[in-house]
Amino acid sequence: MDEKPLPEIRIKGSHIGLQLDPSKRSVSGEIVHIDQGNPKGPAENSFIFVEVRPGQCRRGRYIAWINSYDIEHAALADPGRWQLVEPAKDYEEDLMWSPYGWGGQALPSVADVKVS
Amino acid sequence: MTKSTKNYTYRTGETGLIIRPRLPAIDGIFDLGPDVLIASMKPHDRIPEHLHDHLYHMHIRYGFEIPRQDFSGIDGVALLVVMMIPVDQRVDCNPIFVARGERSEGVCLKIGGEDVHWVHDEDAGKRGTELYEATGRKVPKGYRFQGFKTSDLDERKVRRYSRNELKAAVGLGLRADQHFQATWIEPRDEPIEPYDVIIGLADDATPYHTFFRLQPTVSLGSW
Repeated sequence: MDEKPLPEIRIKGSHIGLQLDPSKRSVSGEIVHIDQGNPKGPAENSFIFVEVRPGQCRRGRYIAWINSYDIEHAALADPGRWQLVEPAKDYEEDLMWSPYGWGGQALPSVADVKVS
Repeated sequence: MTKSTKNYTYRTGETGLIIRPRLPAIDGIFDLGPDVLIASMKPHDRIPEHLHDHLYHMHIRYGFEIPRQDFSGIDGVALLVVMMIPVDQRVDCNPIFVARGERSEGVCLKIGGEDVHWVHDEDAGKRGTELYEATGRKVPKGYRFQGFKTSDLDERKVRRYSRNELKAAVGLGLRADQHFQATWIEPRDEPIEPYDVIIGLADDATPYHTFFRLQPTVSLGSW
């Protein structure tokens, strides 16, 4: 997918999870629970995935997660890639916002069940 | 007042925790009107306890009754619900509601002093599939049962109830409504076409179970 310019906004929330890149020993993503909605960005009480890109502005999108159990489940489904942040930390960052994503990899979901 | 009923006893000697589906009785929670069981919505403003309100979502709603029963032989049990939905969607539960609160909010049922919440449970989904298919029915391709058990307030661990906690909550008969919201597993800018939802109610300790179908438009005669 071609990268179109995305609006840059400031978001505020609670940092509750990390996506890790074991090969680079770095953080590749953040899970944030939005405490204060942004009219041009994520809504209050939403959960978003923030992609961390070295040397570039973060970009964020909605995920259909609802609580810490989703992160615990992701850690089981994809060992070594997900980590809870407990207790949650205050989070305030500028990022490029694309509510429905940019065609990146799908995240694990509690609803992922193999269909025979 | 209903007379106390003995719990259903199976041929195997096991007793069942009786729970029966009903049309929902509490109108207005999440702005859903009378006899609305299935309703697709576009993203809207926040309503407390509402899940996925910022995404395209589909409401799923039913009522249930746990009749007065003596719960003999039943102790340490989690309620269980399974729901057949498309494989590219997920569904999440609200707490059990027993009344409408301020505006569009619900008032939660408490058992054992805590609001009743739900946690995803893969074993529940598998059990639902087995029970459903045990009588010749098949889960259609592209669908699967997603399962839940009653949980702690954080919705991370299964919460089981003692016989006395159930007796205290059910009393002379419990009547409540249950809401869910389904959404795309990967959020997308696309409405969800309403569909029939098959739901199973059971528990994790007895063989008792019941399945029913919810429809976007309730058939005349359901009342």
